[in-house]
Amino acid sequence: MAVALTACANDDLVIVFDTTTTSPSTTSDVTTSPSITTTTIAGYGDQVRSVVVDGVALPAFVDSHTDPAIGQAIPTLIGEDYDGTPITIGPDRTNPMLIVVLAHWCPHCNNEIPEINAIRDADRWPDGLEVVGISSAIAPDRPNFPPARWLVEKDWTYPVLADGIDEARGVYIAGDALGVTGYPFMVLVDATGAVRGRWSGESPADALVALVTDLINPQADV
Amino acid sequence: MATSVHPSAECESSKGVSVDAWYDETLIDVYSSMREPYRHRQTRGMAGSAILALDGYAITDAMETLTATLAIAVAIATVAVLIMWATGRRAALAAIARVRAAVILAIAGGATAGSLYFSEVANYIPCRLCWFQRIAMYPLAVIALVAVIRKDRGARWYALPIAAVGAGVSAWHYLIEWRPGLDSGACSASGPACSDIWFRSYGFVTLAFMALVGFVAVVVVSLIPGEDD
Repeated sequence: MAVALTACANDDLVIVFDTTTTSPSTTSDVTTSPSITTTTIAGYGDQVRSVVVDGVALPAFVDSHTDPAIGQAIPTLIGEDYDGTPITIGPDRTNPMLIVVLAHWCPHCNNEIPEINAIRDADRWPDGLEVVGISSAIAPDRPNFPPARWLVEKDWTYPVLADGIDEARGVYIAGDALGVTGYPFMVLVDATGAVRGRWSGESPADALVALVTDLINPQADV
Repeated sequence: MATSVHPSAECESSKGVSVDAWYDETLIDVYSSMREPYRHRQTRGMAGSAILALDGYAITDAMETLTATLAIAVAIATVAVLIMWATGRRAALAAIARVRAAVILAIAGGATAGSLYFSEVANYIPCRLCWFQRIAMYPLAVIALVAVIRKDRGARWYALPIAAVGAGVSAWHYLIEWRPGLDSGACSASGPACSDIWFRSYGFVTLAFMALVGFVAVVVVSLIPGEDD
């Protein structure tokens, strides 16, 4: 079942339920979907997009070691990037995936992206791992707005889903569905679509590679 | 079957307005939401509200510049006092010492008013370190006010340790604004991290900088020798 969230003038959130199953168009890790309808808002609004959540949201993150989300399938997030290219992030997978939730104004995100880029440039990610970003917590009056330009300036080259806003609840839709409580926020998903780990905050490149490798292949260092 | 909905589908059918009009009417509401999820403003509705909201942002921008300018002025004045002290201008120092409590009241009172404006009017949510600095700054204003009323020349010894502690917290806060890696390592989704700045005027003046200047100024004014020394 898909739930579409958007806002209507001076009214509560419009929620549309669809009993059809959303099927990504391919089985690759970050897929495109024809079902999303672009919602842009005049002025600053083109930096937030419609996001459809299909599935059970992960609980709000508290602690990596006692995270109840571990083993739970991630919800499917159907949205688009800042160019309008449809993007689906979901549990129907063939490869593990690292989801990186970023806030353009957050100094720790600004520190973390170069670390991720260093891993990318040195080709240090575990084989088969796919990385996808989510640009969340959009704030027009805060540093580095608009995030579309910020991501280019930061040399972020992975696919990125532009988050939307659930006005009624005062949350960012994709971030809320993943249980985001801080930035940067990462969710490691295995090839079955289940959460292997979630954490928040800066990680140096070496530590990040070690953590991701260990979570994907827990027997590797035994 | 559609799996998503666009405002046009809902709003045009139910309200008979165009999508453009819908955006115009709600732009500020949406814009307000986008400033921060926890920073909603009560500006729902029509264009008039939108204009008022925009004026509010302009006022806040002006306040940022004004308070930053005042902080720089206080910093310059503090350095000037230190120079006078170093060059032995006792008469000038004694003149300042005679109105010491009033000077502290002006500094701490101004800082308190500015702090309350940014949190209660501009909705800049205070971070954890901001609260520690408030704990130090607000009582300074009260102590100085009582000292002025009672003409108590000894009140500076109560103000001095509070200001010194506040200066330490502000210095740390200002440092992690420039070196966020020294902070907790993450920005909170429910409230600002201490390394997360609301504004930086003139390239370096932040709220933490203003507090630091205020505390240091109170320390210096408290310590300069007067006729009672």
